[in-house]
Order: sequence, then structure tokens, then C-alpha cells
Amino acid sequence: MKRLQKAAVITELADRLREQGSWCGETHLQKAAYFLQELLRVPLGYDFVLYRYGPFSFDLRNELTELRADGLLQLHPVPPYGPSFIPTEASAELRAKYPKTLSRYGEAIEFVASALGSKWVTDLEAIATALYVYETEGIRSPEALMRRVLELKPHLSEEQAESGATELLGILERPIPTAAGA
Amino acid sequence: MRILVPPTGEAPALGVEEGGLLSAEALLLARYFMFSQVYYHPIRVIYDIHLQRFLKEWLTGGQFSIEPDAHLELTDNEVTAAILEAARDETAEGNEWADRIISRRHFRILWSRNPADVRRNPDAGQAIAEAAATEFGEENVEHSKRVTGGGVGDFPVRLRDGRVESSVALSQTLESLPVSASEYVFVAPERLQDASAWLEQKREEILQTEEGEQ
Repeated sequence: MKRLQKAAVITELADRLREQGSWCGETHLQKAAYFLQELLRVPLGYDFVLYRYGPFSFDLRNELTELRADGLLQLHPVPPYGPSFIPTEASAELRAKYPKTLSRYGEAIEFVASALGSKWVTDLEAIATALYVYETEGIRSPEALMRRVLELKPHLSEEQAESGATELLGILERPIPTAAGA
Repeated sequence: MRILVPPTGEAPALGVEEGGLLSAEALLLARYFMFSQVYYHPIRVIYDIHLQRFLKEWLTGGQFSIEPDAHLELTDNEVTAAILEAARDETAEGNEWADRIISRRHFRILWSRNPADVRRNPDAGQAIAEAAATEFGEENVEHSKRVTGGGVGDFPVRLRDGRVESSVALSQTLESLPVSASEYVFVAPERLQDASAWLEQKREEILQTEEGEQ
């Protein structure tokens, strides 16, 4: 996917997350992009590693900074929490130039936004780490997922890890959209 | 500085007490100015590019040795002497770049990042560089885009009453701190006049051809 196509997808994702009630901080965008790429197979091409709060991409972090530099995203404080990423008017103009891309991946974006948009940051950490374990280690049972998430993220409570595993399995039971035309 | 639990309840992170917020602002502002005025200064950028071109041609295999002793033996002294020597010898590896460095015949700015062009096309610099390379030859054009990474720079702040809030929520300075970004398209000085005239004529067309999917 070319850079401006990715920019259209990411800014569209931010808009959809906000519509679902997300305050759309960096953690929200990181985890949503992880789901979009790894579960929905949208070819964003970001390299994700397991970091402090679960799957994280330094490429995506740098991309978000570039999108701010290009005037496509802006920061808005959400006291007392961290800042929110807000797509700008310029990003809407850009997205109007990429109708095919957004049509192809629109359902996937909507799926991720509706699944994750209402989640709190710590919930997202648990759910995304559960997906990481599910995808990279092939663990399937709720109990084993929970245990493994707790091993990787010991600062989470057992309740949070269990909830993350359960939420993930619930998401996976929904019909997963494929890219239009794929 | 303190280890604080962010207001979002995530894992503890490095933060500051309220009294340290102004110092943090000053540090981040200083960082912004260092990047925008020094590291991203166009002359520094183009000489960096010319040096890289020289090193790629002069070093064995186009890269520094990974043998520790050999790597450490190659200092600024050897490189500077090699640049001077190569500049004086037309047949030497890296002669062109060495000569440009020594004679200050560095590539000149054809285009620099500006809000109007970036609004039309966020990849304006890339588009102009590619079009210029097609028109004037790749060997006569250089493109450089640099954006300071590192994310939002948000960190927890413990207020005097014990509450913890986000630095960006507390500080208008940090909220509006711009991203350090620079982007230039450079062209060989011998082609600058033609290239400038060409760009003036072709700019609209170049930016328009990247309109995306029709």
C-alpha cells in the first residue's frame, strides 16, 4: 500500500473510532491498526512488536508523527488523559481522493472500530495481547490465552487478562469481513 | 522526576512533578529548535548527503568495516584527508562528491516544504523530486525528508494535590509544540536556473498528477 493510501486508511480509522466513542489516543490507534493488519489482513505493512502496552509499531508511531507534520492529524488534549488524535479537514480532502482504497477496506475499518471503539486503554492492552498470542503462538482456549497474557503482561490483573481473552474470542466469532475485490 | 501511574491506568511511566513541567517544556522547545534550525538546516542536510555519496564510493564495498579494530582506525582525520585527495584527482573514487564538498559546489534548493504544496499533495516533495529526476537526470537531483520521530511526547505529571494528569492536557506549550519536519528537493547548481524555471511552469501539473484514484 502506498503512503497516501495508508494515510487515508489511518485517518479514516481515527474518524470511525471517534464515532464509536473512542478518545482515539495513540494506544487506541496502535491497537486498532494491529487488529486491522493482523486480523483483517489490511496490508498496512507496519512491523509490530510486543511492547509495554501490548503490540506496538514504531513505524506506525513515526507515521502518526508524519501525518501530524503533514497536517492530516492534529492533537487535542483530553484532560486528565493523554491527547486525542483528530483527523483534520485536510485528511478529509485526502480521503476523497482515495475512494477505491476506502471502499476496499471500509468494512474492515468499521469492524475494528465497532469492536474496539468503546474499549478503555487497559482493555485494549489485554485484548490486543490476546490477539498477539492467538496469532503468534496458536493458543486457542480461553484459559490458556488468559494465562499467557498474564505471563507476558504481569501488571494486568487476572480479571483484565481474562476479560481480554474473552473479548477477543467474542470478536473472532463475528463474521470477519474480507477486503472488497480481494 | 517520578515514576507515576498515568491517568489512564496503564503501567507506570516516567513523569515529573508539577514543578518540573516548565523545565520539561523548555527542554522540549530547545529540542524542537535544535532540530529545525541546526540538524535540519538545508546546508547541513545537503553536505550530509554529499558526504554519504562520497563514502559509498570511497569505502571498500561501500560501507564501513565491521571489524572492530579496522572500524575504530578510520577516524575523521582519514576521511577528511581522503576527501581532499579525491577532490584533487579526477580519476579518484568519489571525486565528484569530494570536489563539491571542497569547492562548495553543493546542490542547491529547488523546492522546500511549504504548507500550500503539502496541502495539495502531502507527498509533494517526493512528486517534485521524481519529476525533476526524470527531467534533469537522477544524478542531478537529491530529495531529503526528515521528521522528528518519538511520538507525542506525552508523560504523566503529578500535581501538587497528588492527582496525576497528562502533560499535554496541562501544558498549552506542549499541546501546540509543532513537529520538526523538513523536506527539500536539491538540484545540481549547474542546473538550478533551468530547474527553477521548469518547476515554476510544471508545479501545478506535478502536484495534480498525484490526485490519487480517479
